[in-house]
Amino acid sequence: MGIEVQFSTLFQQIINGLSLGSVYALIAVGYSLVYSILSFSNFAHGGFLVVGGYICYGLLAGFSVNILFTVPSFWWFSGFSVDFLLPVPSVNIWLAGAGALAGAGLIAILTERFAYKPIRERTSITLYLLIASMGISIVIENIFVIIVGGRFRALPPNTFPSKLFTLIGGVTVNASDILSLVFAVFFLGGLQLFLNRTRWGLAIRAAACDLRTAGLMGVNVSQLIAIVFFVAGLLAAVGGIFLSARYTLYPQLGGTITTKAFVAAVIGGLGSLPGAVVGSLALGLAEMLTAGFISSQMRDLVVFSMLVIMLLVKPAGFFGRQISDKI
Amino acid sequence: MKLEKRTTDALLMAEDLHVSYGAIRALQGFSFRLQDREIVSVIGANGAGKSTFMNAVMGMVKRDRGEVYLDGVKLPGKSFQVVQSGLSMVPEGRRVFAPLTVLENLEIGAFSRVARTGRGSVRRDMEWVFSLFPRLKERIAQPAGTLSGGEQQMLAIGRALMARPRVLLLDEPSLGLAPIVIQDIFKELRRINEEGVSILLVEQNARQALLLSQRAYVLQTGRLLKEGPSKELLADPEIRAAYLGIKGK
Ligand SMILES: Nc1ncnc2c1ncn2[C@@H]1O[C@H](COP(=O)(O)OP(=O)(O)O)[C@@H](O)[C@H]1O
Ligand SMILES: [Mg+2]
Repeated sequence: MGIEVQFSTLFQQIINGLSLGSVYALIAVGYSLVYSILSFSNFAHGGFLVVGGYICYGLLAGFSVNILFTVPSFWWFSGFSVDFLLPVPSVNIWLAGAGALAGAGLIAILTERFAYKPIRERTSITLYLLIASMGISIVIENIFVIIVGGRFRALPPNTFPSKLFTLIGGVTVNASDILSLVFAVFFLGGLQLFLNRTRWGLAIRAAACDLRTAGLMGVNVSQLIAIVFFVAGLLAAVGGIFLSARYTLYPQLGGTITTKAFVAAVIGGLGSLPGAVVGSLALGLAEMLTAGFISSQMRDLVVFSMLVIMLLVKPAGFFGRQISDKI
Repeated sequence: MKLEKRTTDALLMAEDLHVSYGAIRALQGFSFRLQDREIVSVIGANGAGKSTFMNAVMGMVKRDRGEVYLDGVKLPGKSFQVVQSGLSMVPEGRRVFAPLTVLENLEIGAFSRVARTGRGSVRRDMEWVFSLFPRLKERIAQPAGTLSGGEQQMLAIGRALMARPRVLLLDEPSLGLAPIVIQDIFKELRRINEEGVSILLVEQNARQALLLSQRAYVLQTGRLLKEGPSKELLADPEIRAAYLGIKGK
């Protein structure tokens, strides 16, 4: 009996791992795309995912907004708070999803335009961009804490099908896991087509190799960077929706996941898109197999051990180009 | 009202260009003009400000002072707009997109005008580039990074031609190439010019540049040292001593 149980756990955890890994891939790919163009780690990337998650949640369930105004200098009161339920049209998951994708893409563009562009135009030292992105990630996190509160939220039940399929050998698979895998493959495939078949896709690949020279080709570099951020934000939102369906949504989710995406991207080779996908799948599988066979608490330990081992053995990652100047 | 249009007989002209990098004043009041269908070269030693001048024309570096006019109309400030107005540049060190194929490198050269002129004209221009540099056609599916230095230079020139420029700017196309390859490339530059493309050439290799061009400017530490017909400069004893390495007579 033991061996059979082990086998079905193995199979189940592989499917879970691939499903989780494909969601990580959506996030890591956008993160890597930005890195490949601007050579800095955008730590606000997880923020885009949270924006997407909350837009989707808000459109499905509505928010009770609580804003506390504090007025420190009056003796007879120290503040007042405003509570209201944000009115929501009842929309289905498709509309909510589309809104989340567009909204997160837009926030990504605005972040670049108002936080990174002014820095890019003054200096070529990318460390400043990295620091600004850390600031933005804190800003986004706290905006959500203030406006909608820090509690954990779950998407309304039945947002995604939760049917369990039983396969041969007693292996059960959750329909929503399959669904997230299918959507991840769809969006990653779409990105691949966009990059390889369109004029702007070609320009982005050229810019990833040499941004300045891409400008000399008649490419409007500001527009190109805006497109890249939109795509990164959109993909992060897809990941955000499936992550909040799988686990829960909370303002700090972005930070946790950015770390995962960063690890996945480094394992795969920073700036390489196939690398980001491979690294993410490896990460998802490692997490789920650890959870299935060792203990759920060991997941993060395994993840960071993988990072350390990779950096020791093959610092450029699976698909990395150069070793110098990581992070 | 500001007068944007100038009456001039020059196709491309610049007046009193100033560029600095912090405290370094790389260009200190350089002016030039280029007639339609002319080949003009700018020669000067390493660090004279030649690349700075080209980048200032293309909008790649900020000008402190001075404007550039194409056909009497002020050139816009951003490089992508400059390319759209009809200038394109072969940058110093070629800078082909190494992971992209030869074909993709040529396609990206047409980026700014493919929407305007259509795919058919892109294919025709590509055939023209292949007729100038047949070796590119043989290597069409190869990543540009695997080409030899000379082939990469051909690709960089072909890529710039794909933008259909009225003026082709080249920054040291002879850099790091064998003499026989340089001969080849300069021969093709003449052919390109005969097809109606005006050429602005910047070179440390003064002999080649003066042999190709009709007129030339000599740049020294950001200022004009001399200008004149290339033939006269080739015979000028000062130029011969300083830039052509020929002493006496
Ligand atoms: N990005 C830069 N930052 C600071 N100084 C620069 C930069 N580019 C060029 N310079 C300086 O400007 C001067 C002119 O350089 P450049 O235009 O490259 O000359 P050339 O192309 O004739 O060799 C040199 O003194 C060079 O060191
Ligand atoms: Mg130079």
